[in-house]
Amino acid sequence: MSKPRVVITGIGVMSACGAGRKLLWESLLQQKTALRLHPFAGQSESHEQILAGIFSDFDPAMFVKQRKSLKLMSRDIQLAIAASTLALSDAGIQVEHIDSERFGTLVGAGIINNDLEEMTAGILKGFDEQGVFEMERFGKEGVKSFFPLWFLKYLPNMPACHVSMAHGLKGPSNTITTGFAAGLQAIGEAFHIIQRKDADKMLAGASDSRTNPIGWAQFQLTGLAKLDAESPLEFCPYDEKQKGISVSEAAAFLVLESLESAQSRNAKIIAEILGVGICSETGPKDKMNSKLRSMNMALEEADIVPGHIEAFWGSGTGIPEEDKAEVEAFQSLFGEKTSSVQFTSTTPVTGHSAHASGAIQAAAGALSIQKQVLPPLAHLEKAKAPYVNFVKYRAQTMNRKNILLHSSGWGGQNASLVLGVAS
Amino acid sequence: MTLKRVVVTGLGAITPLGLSAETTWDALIKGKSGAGEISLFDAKGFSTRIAAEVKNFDLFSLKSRYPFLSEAMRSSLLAIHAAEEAMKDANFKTYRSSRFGIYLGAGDSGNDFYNVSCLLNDASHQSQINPMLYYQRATGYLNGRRELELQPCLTVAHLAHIFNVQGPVSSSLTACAASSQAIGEAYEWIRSGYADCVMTGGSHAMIYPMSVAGFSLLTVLSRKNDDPQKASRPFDKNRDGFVLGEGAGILILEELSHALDRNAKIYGEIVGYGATADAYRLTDMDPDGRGAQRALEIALRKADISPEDIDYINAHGTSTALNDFTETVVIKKIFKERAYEIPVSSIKSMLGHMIAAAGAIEAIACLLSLRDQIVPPTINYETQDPDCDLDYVPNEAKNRKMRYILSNSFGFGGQNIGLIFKQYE
Repeated sequence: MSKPRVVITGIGVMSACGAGRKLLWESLLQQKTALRLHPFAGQSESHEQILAGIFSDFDPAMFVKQRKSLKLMSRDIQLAIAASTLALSDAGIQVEHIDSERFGTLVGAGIINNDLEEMTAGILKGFDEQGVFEMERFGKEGVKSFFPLWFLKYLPNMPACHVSMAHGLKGPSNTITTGFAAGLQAIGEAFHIIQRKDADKMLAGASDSRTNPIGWAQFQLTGLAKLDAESPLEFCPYDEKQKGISVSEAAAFLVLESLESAQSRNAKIIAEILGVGICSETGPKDKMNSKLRSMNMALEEADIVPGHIEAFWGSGTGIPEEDKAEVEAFQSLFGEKTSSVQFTSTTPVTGHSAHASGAIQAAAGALSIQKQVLPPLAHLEKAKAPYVNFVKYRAQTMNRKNILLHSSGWGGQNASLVLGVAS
Repeated sequence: MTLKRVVVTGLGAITPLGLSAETTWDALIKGKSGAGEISLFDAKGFSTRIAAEVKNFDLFSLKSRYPFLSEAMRSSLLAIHAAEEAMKDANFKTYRSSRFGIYLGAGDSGNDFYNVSCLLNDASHQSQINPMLYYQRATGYLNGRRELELQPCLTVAHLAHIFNVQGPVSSSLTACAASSQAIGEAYEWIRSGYADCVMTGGSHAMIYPMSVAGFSLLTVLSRKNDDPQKASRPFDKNRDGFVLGEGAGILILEELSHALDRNAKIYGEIVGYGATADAYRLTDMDPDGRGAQRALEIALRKADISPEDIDYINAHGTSTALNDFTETVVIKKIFKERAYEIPVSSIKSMLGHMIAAAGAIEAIACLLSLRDQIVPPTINYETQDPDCDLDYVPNEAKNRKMRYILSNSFGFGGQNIGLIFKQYE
């Protein structure tokens, strides 16, 4: 029994660059960053600069027709619906004309951050006149001020459920919660589901919106974002001056299909998925090795050697130890061929979209395969790793070889994916 | 490429009924309830004040053995406790860590509720939150390490660290179906040769204020506060919702020849897995149960058996009106007239609903049912519901000759999982 080949036939992106794959691609080529100083900057007592990617023109009503449904969706879910809708339309799929039982959903997500105002209204009712919190008071008065379905806005599997409901997809549905690797891992696991013939098509990707006070506080507290008055006004991962992450909100979905399914409906084929590697750090000393392990797992499954890779898409977290370990793993994988592999990332332009970042990378990576063009790594001035062939200043053409994507951060999980031209 | 066979060679659990798989199993076949009043926080003001908590669990002994767990969330600690037991039970002399994986249905333990509340209060003026103040003052109230530990991916990261797991790792959270799905995916990994051994199952610790609040608002929790041990009553006419439980269940899955080579004790074999989505409605199952039916049929097809072969059904059986009704409908659709001859029981009657960990503990119960040839009961079954008229194994365990067991799991948002366990032959 041979495994089916799996191809990408549709891409849907919602990012701070705007709606659709075209805006993402143009922004990457033009190195036009979507990151802006958040209005907090300047008001802040400590002069902190928050550089963030917010999709301010996003109009969820364009994608969700029923107002009642919108109320049940956190912004993460709304972005997921929008990106998945764009992916289906890019693939030329009208859901009413397909076998929905053989079409599944796989989403990478984390715990969705509560809406600050919504949460505050309920919790403040738990405080007495002296400003002391009483649990009994919260139970009696606070709980009932939340709307009945409030809880469902924030469960991690809700983006997947809404996406499957919006498009009527009745095949396998899963939600992967492996930190910043989740988006790329979701695409990798969807690839396995088609390979083992549990579905013919999968809508796979991720969505995350942490460009809010709760999110910024999380990144600051966990030490991933280092914000001070000297922070650079551009996001430049892999550069000596970068001290931490710049967060953006985004969602990206890919339509994955067995080659047979794609050919039977004459679909345009964007790229082929060849292998996936997913593993965890086994402790703080394993950071570099675990990244390398995930890359090797992906190459092994793709049944190729490092010489078959011409470009690398990195996580681009901007977190110094993460960037360093990733570059070391990259150098270790390619050895003396390191300088012949081009290294790029979407994040200087898009920002790092946490659980969705791997899905954005995969979307951009698939586009690079389709167009045989590799966008530059924007803003890089002084690379921490001088021997790495970062794509600087302008886009490069490609030679129809494969690309390797890597995604990691938060918790130590790694995901790697190999994409190639479907010949 | 031929598909590999997958057997279970290690079990570990921590539940409201015991701190190990065997003590839990012993209580289950005796028909005991693990429910009681909530002690993990002051639930006096809440409409539901009962839950099934893990009791006498020494969090600090784990933390002192592994200092890096100092701020780990309860759900991670439960998982590690169960995983240690499962690994000991599997009795590996050595293992190739690059061929060893983890696939967990790992849940959360809520936010740092009290400190978040105080921060919100401090950052508000006249009941209006000032987002910038929230951000600026967060460091005064919240602990960075703890914030990181609250992410569900940390549970598998700790397990990979403790057991030096260098193979594939995944963590999934699909509400009440999560750990059944994790077991199914782990089974697929071994079947396809992606790993030789996988630590799988799930953990969840949802007895915290925001989740009791959230579930209460969804009106899915039992409010039988006066008689906690009688509150969870799946399939009974007077059921009024589920009792929230917590805990962890861990299984070691192994490729058959790998297990035979090292003379491992084999609990049973996993032979079928089906996963589907209802794509119907957010909170309700499709009342016709079409998605659930398909999941179970896919599992039967993978196992290459017919409904005739199933000897016992370990039900999802949450004790909510709609779930138990729909599950009964689905069983009748698949098993036709034979539905009345197959025992169907829900151990949630005793353990409460352990959410992401529910499927894992139910899988463990299925394997021990196969080993001991005993069906655990549905306790608190007193009054027949005319719409639920199958043999729910009321109140007392019974002996039965079994080769194949089906386990059902259905999650909020319409995710359905079927798993089939077989006696090892």
